[in-house]
Amino acid sequence: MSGIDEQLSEREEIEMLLPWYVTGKLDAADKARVETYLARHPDVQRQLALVAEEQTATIAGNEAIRPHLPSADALLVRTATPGVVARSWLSRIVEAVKDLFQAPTPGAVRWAGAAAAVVILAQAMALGTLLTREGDGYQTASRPGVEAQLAPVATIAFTDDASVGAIAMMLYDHQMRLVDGPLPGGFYSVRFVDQPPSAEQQRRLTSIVNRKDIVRAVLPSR
Amino acid sequence: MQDQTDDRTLIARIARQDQAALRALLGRHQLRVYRFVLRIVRREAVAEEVTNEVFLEAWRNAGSYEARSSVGTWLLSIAHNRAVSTLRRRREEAIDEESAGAIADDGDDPEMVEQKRDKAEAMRRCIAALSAEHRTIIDLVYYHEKSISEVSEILGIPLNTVKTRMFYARKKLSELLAAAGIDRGWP
Repeated sequence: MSGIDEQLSEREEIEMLLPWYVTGKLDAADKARVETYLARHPDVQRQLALVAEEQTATIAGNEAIRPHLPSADALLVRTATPGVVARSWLSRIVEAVKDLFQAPTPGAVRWAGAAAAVVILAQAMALGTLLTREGDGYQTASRPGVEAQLAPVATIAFTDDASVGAIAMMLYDHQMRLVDGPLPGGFYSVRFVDQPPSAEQQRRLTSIVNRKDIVRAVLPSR
Repeated sequence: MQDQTDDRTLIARIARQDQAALRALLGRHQLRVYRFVLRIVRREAVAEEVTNEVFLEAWRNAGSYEARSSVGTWLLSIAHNRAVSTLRRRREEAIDEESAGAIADDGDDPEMVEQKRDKAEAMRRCIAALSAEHRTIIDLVYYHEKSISEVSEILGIPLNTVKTRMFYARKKLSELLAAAGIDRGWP
């Protein structure tokens, strides 16, 4: 017992436990202690109603807070580690396709086109974590009305062996995000987080063409 | 109990850098963490950023989670540390006073004035007007339904301090209600 406890009356000690008694979060010993005291002091039972009122108001106060949640994609970009996330299975498919081209038997050539399509599909599935389609659960929650008005600025195709993490980091660095795709040819629509893009952002768009390790092609958006 | 098991499975997957597990964890806990943080920092934009930091820290430290407490308690502990340090950094106490009614006040039209006379509404407003320290412990006990030991872990204070802080938070609430014309007959 601390000094504070020694100075407290039994009634105050019981009163201190009442919030947890009402929420059902007391251990068995304290619960029994409270119940014994309440049986001997019915006047204290009135306090249970006060605690219940406080709990109702606290829950109402919390639930009145609109679910104005932070965007998950910003977090997912920050947790995307190049070469780790979703890369292992994608890279296995990429390697399999490379093997086919390195040993171009008639059968392999016949299957190469289909395998390339598999790569695009696999990449599309992996990039799904980065997509910010309007109306889905991961658009920027704070400005849905504004987001809906923003148009893509370009369509980009990524190299087959670009990892999701590398793509995510590049988009993050350039303040861009995927808004649609995959489109025919494995292209994705991108736009800047802020629009209209500044001159600096337009320069960045041009510069990503040089990221040949990640970007296969950039086309102006229609 | 099943939820706790599932939460721990998610943390184990997050420790292996599984983003799908992080999404699932967000789905389960993000709203409660956000509300807890917002009631401390009182700024939506700040609460959004702190909430993201909480889950980022969970992502980075999932491997060191030892399951001594529930995942929810662990996340709230991270959230409390982050929110309080953010408050200190931004010297939010002044802003806290300035925005004391920001969450509770939705407008002062005649209908709202009528509602404010209502006891439950008065209670809600008085809780919102408590100090951050008192409001936080009331939220943890009544909304997040944390036990004495869980509150102790989240706030990093002794068990007896948890009990006395909650007791004085309730007394302060009664004083605020009395000042608003509502006598609860306690203490």
